[in-house]
Formats: sequence, C-alpha cells, structure tokens
Amino acid sequence: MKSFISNCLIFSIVLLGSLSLLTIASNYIGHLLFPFELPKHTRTVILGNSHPECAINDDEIPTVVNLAQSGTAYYYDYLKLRELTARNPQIRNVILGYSYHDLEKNMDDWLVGESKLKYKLRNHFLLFNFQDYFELLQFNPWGVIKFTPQTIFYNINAVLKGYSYLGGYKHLERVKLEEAIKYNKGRPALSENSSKSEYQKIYLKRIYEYCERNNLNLILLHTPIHPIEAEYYSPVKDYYKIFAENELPEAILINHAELDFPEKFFADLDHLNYKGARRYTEIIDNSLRSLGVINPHL
Amino acid sequence: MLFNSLDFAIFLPIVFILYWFVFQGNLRLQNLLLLAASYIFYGWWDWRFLSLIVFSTLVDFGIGLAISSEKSDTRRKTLLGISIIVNLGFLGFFKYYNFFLENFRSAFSIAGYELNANSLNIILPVGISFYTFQTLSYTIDIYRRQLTPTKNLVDFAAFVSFFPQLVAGPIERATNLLPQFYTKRKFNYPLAVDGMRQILWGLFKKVVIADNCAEYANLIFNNSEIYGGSTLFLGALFFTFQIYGDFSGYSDIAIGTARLFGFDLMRNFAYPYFSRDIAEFWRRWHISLSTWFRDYLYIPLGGSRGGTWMKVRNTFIIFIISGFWHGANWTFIFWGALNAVYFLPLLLTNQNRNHLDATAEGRLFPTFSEFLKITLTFSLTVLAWIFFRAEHLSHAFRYIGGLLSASLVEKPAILPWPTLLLIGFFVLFEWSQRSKAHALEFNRLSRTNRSIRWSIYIGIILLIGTFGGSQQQFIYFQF
Repeated sequence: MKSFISNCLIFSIVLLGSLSLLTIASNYIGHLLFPFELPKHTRTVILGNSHPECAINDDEIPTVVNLAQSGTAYYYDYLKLRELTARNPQIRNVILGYSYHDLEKNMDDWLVGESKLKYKLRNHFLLFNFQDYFELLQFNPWGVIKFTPQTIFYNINAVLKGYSYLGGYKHLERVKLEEAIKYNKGRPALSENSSKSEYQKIYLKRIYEYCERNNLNLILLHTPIHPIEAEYYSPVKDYYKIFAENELPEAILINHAELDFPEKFFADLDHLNYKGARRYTEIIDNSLRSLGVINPHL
Repeated sequence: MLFNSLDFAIFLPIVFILYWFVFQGNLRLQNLLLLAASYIFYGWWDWRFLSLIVFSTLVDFGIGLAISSEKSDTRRKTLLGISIIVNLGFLGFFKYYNFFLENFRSAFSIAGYELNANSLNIILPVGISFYTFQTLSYTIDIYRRQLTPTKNLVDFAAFVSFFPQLVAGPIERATNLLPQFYTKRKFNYPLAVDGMRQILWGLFKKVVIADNCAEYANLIFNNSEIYGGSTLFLGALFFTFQIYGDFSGYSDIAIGTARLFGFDLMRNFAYPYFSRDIAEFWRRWHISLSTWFRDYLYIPLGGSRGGTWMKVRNTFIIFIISGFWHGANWTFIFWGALNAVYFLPLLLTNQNRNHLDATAEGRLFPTFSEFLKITLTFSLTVLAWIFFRAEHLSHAFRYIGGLLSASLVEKPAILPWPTLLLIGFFVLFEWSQRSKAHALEFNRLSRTNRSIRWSIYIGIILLIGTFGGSQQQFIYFQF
C-alpha cells in the first residue's frame, strides 16, 4: 500500500513537472517563432469581438489591420494589444469594439465560462506571461488548470497559422435576420439597472491606461446593429456613454449602433453581413480620415 | 456523479483513503463505507431515486431469504415471481409506460377507438436497467439453488449499489460479485496499478474518442437531410466509435475503480470491432448483458436445442428483447431484430462458434481473408448502429437512403482530420494490444522499463488534456 501511494505521488510529480515543462517550453517557442510583425505601413489595429470582426474589411483600408475575433473578452484584447504594439511600434491607433452589451454581466462568461475558456486560453496562450496566467487562474482555477495542457499543441498551431489564429475580418454570408427578428419579437428591453461585468470594466480600463501610457489613440467603436437590438439595449445607452466619458475620457467614442442601414446588410440582429461590411468599411474609412487617424498619402 | 467530472476526482481518493487507511482490516466497516459511498454517488444525480434502489434491495433481500428457506416448489416459484414482477414492474413503469401507452393509443385509433389516457412526465432513474438485472440474477440464482442468500443486509445492499458499476454496468452476477463482499480484502498492488491503467484508458476512450466523435455524430445525425452520402457515412462511423468509446470507456473505468478496492468485475468488452463475424461480435460486445440474456432467458427458452424453428424463435426473442432493453423505441427493437438476421445464418449453419480465439493471434497483421471478414462484420455493425442512433425508424431509413446514394463517393462536407487521426491512433493501439484484457495492460514492460510505461501514461494524459471533447453524458445512462 505504501509503495502504491508513494508511486502515485512520484508519478503525479513527474506528470506535473513534464506538463509544466512542455507548457512553458511550447509557450516560449511559440512566443519566439510567432510572426508578430505587421506590415510597416500599418498604423491602426482593430480589436474586439465579432461586431468589428464582421463589420470592417481591412483589405479595403491599407493602413488598418483587423484582428478582432468573435467571443473575445477585453482581457484577451489587452494581451493582444500589449504584444502587438510592443512588436510593431508603427501602430498609432487602436480601434476597440465597444458595444452596449460589452459591459453587461453575462460577458463574464466570455472570460471565466468554460465554453469560451477552452478555446480562448489555448488561442492566446503564447501572449501570456506568468502574471497574466495567475490572474486568470484566480478567476476560474479548475477551468484554467483543465485547459492548460491543450496549449502545448495549440501554441505550435498558432505559430503555423500566424495572425489568422488571433483574429481577422470575417466574410459573413449567413442569412439569419428573419429568424432572429421572429425569435426576438416582443422581447422586453433590458433593465436600466442590469448588472455589469466587473471583469470587462477592469480590462477595458487597463487597455485605456495602456494606450495612454504609450501615446496610442484609442477609438471605441459601436458597429451598426439592427433597430430591434438597439431598442433592446436602449435602457443601458446612458450607462454606456457615461462610463466612456468618465472612465475613458481621452478615448474617442464612435457610436454607429443606430446608423440607418437597410435590412439586407444584416446577417442577424447584431452582425453585418459581407454586403453591410462593404458599405460600413467605406463609412468607417471616412470617419477615420476626418478624425485624422488615417493618412491618405500612405 | 460522472466518472469524468471533478466531483468524482475528489470523491474517489477520499473513499479510497478511508477504505484502506481508516477501515482496513474491518470488513463490515469497509462494506458499510462502500454502501454509503455508493448511495452518495447515486444520490448526486437525484437523491429521490435512492428510495427505488433501497426498496428493490429490501424486497430482493427478503425474497432471497424466503426462497432459500422455503421447501415447497410452488411457493418458491411464487416468491421468485414476486421478485420478477416487482423489479420488472419498476423498470416497465419508468422506462416503458409511455411507449406502451402511445402504441396502444395508435393501435386503438386505427381500430376506430380513442383511448383516453395521458402520457406521464416520467424521469428515467439513472441505471435502473442495470441494477434491476443485477438483483434479478440474485433471486433467480437462489431459486435455482446456485447461490446461498446472504443474511447480511449491508453486504447485499453494497452488492446491489456498488458504485463503480451501479449506473452502467458491467451487470454483475451475484455468484461472482456477492462472495467478494464476504471475503476479507487485502490491498493488492498489481491489481490496483492495473486498475489505474484501465481507468486511464477508459478515460481516454470516453473523453477523447467518444466525446469528440459525439460532436460530429450529433451534428450529422441531427441534420442528416442536408448532407450527402459520404458525410452520412462519416456520421455513422463517428457514432460507431462514439458508442464504443463511451460504453467500453465507462466499463473500463468501472472495472479499474473496483480493482482499487480489491474487487474483480467481469469483463464487458473484448475489442468487438475486430470481430470476424457477428457471433464473435456479440461474444465481445457488452458481454455482461449478452451472457445475462443467454443464462436467464435463452437457455431457459430451450437455447439451441430443439428444431430449427426453436433456434430461430429463441434467437429473435433474445435479440429483440436485448434491443428493447436499451430503450422504449422501435429503433432499438429493429436494431435487435437486424442483429438477429445477421446472426441467423451463422447459427443455422453451425458456424456461430467459429472464432473463439483472438483475431490474428500471434501475428502482427490479419490474413487477407481475416481482413475481409473484419471489414464485412464492421460494416454490418455500422449499418445497424444507424438504427440505434436514429430518432425514429423513418429517420434511419432516410439516413441509409441518403448514405447509399451517388454522393457516397463525393468529398464529405465535414472532414475533421484531428478526430479521424485520433480514431486511427485508437484503432492501431487497441489492435496492438488485442490479446490483453485492456489496452494499457503491460505485462512484460511492467517488469522492465518504467520510463517507457510512464511516458505512455503521460502521453495519454496529454492527449486527454489536449483533445478532450466537450463533456457529454454517458450514452448508456439513459438505458
């Protein structure tokens, strides 16, 4: 019995040691080999979730790179931003998706919920340092421990796939608007006093502080959503605006949520399809030019 | 409590330490601990259903003693009848009430009558089909005078509810498992180590193979009308490995866990997809259920004795009841009948016991003829699983119709290479270990090279950690 217990303990130690070693080594190699450099003329990077991911086709704006990805919490945006700007000093502007729902309580799930954690941890692991890891570990210890071994294979995968692994414009062809309208018909609007996500607020402020420290222009962007969706979120609009004004005073807020877009531009209630993206890319291009963010001579 | 959950990962070491460190040397206390642990394990799902197990335990304990002390054959038969009625009554009510009601209603409706009875919203207690059959084997064996009943209620209750195999088997015979509760248990190092290995392999089968296959099998079966033949073929293939990984994985974890406590459970799977004919497949698939039906139904019905008609009748009875045991749906009945059709030619030509040895024993590769036989048997099995997985019979026929179309040779719409590669690795690993009781049994290596063994374990744990699919309920819990 004693030898069984001692062998189990020794095996556990060997296992833990091997997995830790492999994890750290693959993280190090991934970090070393990942092609972090963006084109020299890149001045603006787009981060955020599926809203900017589907709304802006960066092929149409030469100095902009869209690295938004669906289901991404601000925590991961912060990691991406930190690494990208450190490796690409030519970046001067950061466009960050900032939608009405981004501060709602259910967004906590995007950081600590296992369904998202499983994919997001392994996709972003090569951007982690020890402190980031231990921070995440505090939020969901079991989930983080459970999904850490996955990162060994996925770090290598990230190196092979490059930036497409971390985000990029998504050409959306799906037609689900009619179904979504039918499903959401009669849905009561969100409560004005709905609970908010502390995690999202913390990391949004951290992104803001990082941009301030590094003299980066932060542009908070709400891409167009369908009027039904805008109506649903209308009670939290003030909170959304006041939070940006009070907590992120130097950031530029562009709220295109209620832009008058025809239904044929929507894939569903809150995502633009590729036709909508084509049109919206022109609009955002003009907005950025008028703000002086894009230099037409580049 | 699921075997592949954090709850179980905490529960198991606690019970293990109490069992071997606190209660060692005291058989009564060890059995009491196993009973308490089993009730906690079961009550984790829904404590209300514990009352069913307790009731069933008390009834069979009492009837077992009564049968044993009874001299009159008529009374013994009556007592056995009560046990069968009570056990199958529960099973029938919880599992089949709505099915029979619906079918009676349809039958009456066809005849022009309306049956005014409402379906009930019945939740099927987890594992009821398994422990019902286990307790039935106890009273039947006592009736047959093959077993002396226990006078210790704790031992009997622990036998009925033994947590490693309570909810999805192996369905143990009282003659094998119950005496193990009477015998003083000493920690057996090789048995425990082998148990750990079997648990690891079971987890791999469940978490990596079954759960990953489930994702695609569900996607394809749930949207079968939009996919072409080649994708439908892949869907059937994924389900074939899902059900094997899921169920045999559970059995491996159950057997391995029991070994940690010094118990030896019967083998439930013996590499069934390497079978060379359907008879061999059924000797290797869900062995505890197949042998249960053989001993308690097939042989009492006359078995293979008697004329051809008797053989055919008994074969169909066994397979159809076996199908019906899996669930209250015509798809399961059809699946059972289809297997009877597969089996019949072998039985009638006396070739049903041709392959009793391991496939390609002593050789690395099968002969060409063996390979063809394995492929044919596997294909027939895949076809039958479509009925098992389909929502209803018409779904299954539509699925097969879609599969056997010209689009069978097109490129599949879904082609998940990582899952296919994992299946390939799994098949090759099991093939290389097919003469062993389970795929991680290392007789020779255990004496020699520990570093090789440990590297294999770490590799498998890494695969589990990396490719573990979304946690899914064990399929057989619903049975």
